[in-house]
Amino acid sequence: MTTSKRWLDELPLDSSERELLLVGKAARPAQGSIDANWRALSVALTATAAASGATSAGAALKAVSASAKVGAASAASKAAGAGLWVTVGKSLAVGALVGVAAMGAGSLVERSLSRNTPAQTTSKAAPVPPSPQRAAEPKPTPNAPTEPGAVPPAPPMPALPASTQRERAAVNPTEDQPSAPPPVTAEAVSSAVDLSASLSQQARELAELKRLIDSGAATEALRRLEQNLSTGAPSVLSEERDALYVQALARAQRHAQARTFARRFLARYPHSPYFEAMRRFLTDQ
Amino acid sequence: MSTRGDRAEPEPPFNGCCLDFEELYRTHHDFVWRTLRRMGVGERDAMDAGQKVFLIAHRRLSMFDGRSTVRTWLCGIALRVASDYRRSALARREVLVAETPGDASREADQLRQLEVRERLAILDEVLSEMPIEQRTVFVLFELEELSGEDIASLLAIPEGTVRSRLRLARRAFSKSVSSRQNQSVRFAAGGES
Repeated sequence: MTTSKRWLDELPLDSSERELLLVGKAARPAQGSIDANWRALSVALTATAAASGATSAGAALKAVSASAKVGAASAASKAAGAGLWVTVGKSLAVGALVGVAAMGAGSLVERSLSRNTPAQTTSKAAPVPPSPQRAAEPKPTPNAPTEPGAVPPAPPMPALPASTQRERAAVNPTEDQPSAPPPVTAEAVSSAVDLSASLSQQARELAELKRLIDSGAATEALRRLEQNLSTGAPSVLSEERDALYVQALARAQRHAQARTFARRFLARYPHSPYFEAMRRFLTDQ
Repeated sequence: MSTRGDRAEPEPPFNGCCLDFEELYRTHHDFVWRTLRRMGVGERDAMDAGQKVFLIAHRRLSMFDGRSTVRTWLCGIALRVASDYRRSALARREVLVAETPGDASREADQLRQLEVRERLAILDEVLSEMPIEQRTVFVLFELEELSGEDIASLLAIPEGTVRSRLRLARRAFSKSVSSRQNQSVRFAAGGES
């Protein structure tokens, strides 16, 4: 057996394994779910931008655009230059704003659905009413250090490899795709809003912990963090939580434990944006 | 021997240009969704999980340093979301039930879709029998066509480990498929007697 090629290229044409792989490769979500997801996502992101200080709906949308278009070189250099705690703080600040998004998003989604408008597929899909006049420039969001106009447009994404396209044409399964038009989807959009509410709740809690640490109440932050950790509940923000835990330990002068958890962090999150800063923390210690 | 496949994604290296989030979303949505599904996220939860992946991606966009492709970066987030999902009580309660086709007038199309659904269900069963480490490598290499090098980087394992897991996963896949075929044959023979 060789792994220099995909298995698909080596399997006999009539093998069952090949059939299963082809079906798996060509599977795609229900028709319309991309647009439904994008609508829900842009609602949350737009509300996030609005909460960040934009003074009108138009400005909010622009802020989303600003936060979504980021020069990677600039971002990379900023990330490299930023300290661990600054990076964690920025991340949490953005995360916390997602929480506010959920509140505004619910009513926006309801309005959008009650109008029963068709799916919008452009980048202006967020259900924000048009602003009668050009809004003032929004304040930059914490993770948007560059202005959208300052960077060139994104390059076109490459097409699928021809072989993949052929396979899709040959098999063309649609795993979750009924023949009827897609059921889009008060459920889908509201579930996305629920999701962002849950995520935002976690982000708010972590932002509060960060505030405690910054204000010198590291012991209280540690108590809450340890309570959170003891539940063993999985969290999509566990990386940020664990980074804060190391910070809280360090601020509480529990240096040996901070080093231990920093090493665990490096092992657990080798691709974390906090990796380099955590490594520097260990080196400095 | 290299695990860089012939049909590796021809995504250009990310070199300092800008990321448009909607373009990123639309380009990679299906990939993220498939990865979530094949890594064990139930059909009814895949949309929520996909939302979660892109919310996290948006939050971390400014931290993306271009050391990997966008696809690989998103894949890392999707794997983590899928892992959380499998650990959650929600995943344990998940019952995979094929949905009833909606349009009774299009029987041929429905039959074809039913067949596809059945195959996908078998695929998921076969994958679910694999150890998660083998399943991850198998899904990313064979179904999503990531390179061995990218998978090694993503999972923080040596490329040789990727190759060995892939070899074991292929063997397990074939064994499981053969076993199912044998069961079908025995069942059919028993039914006729």
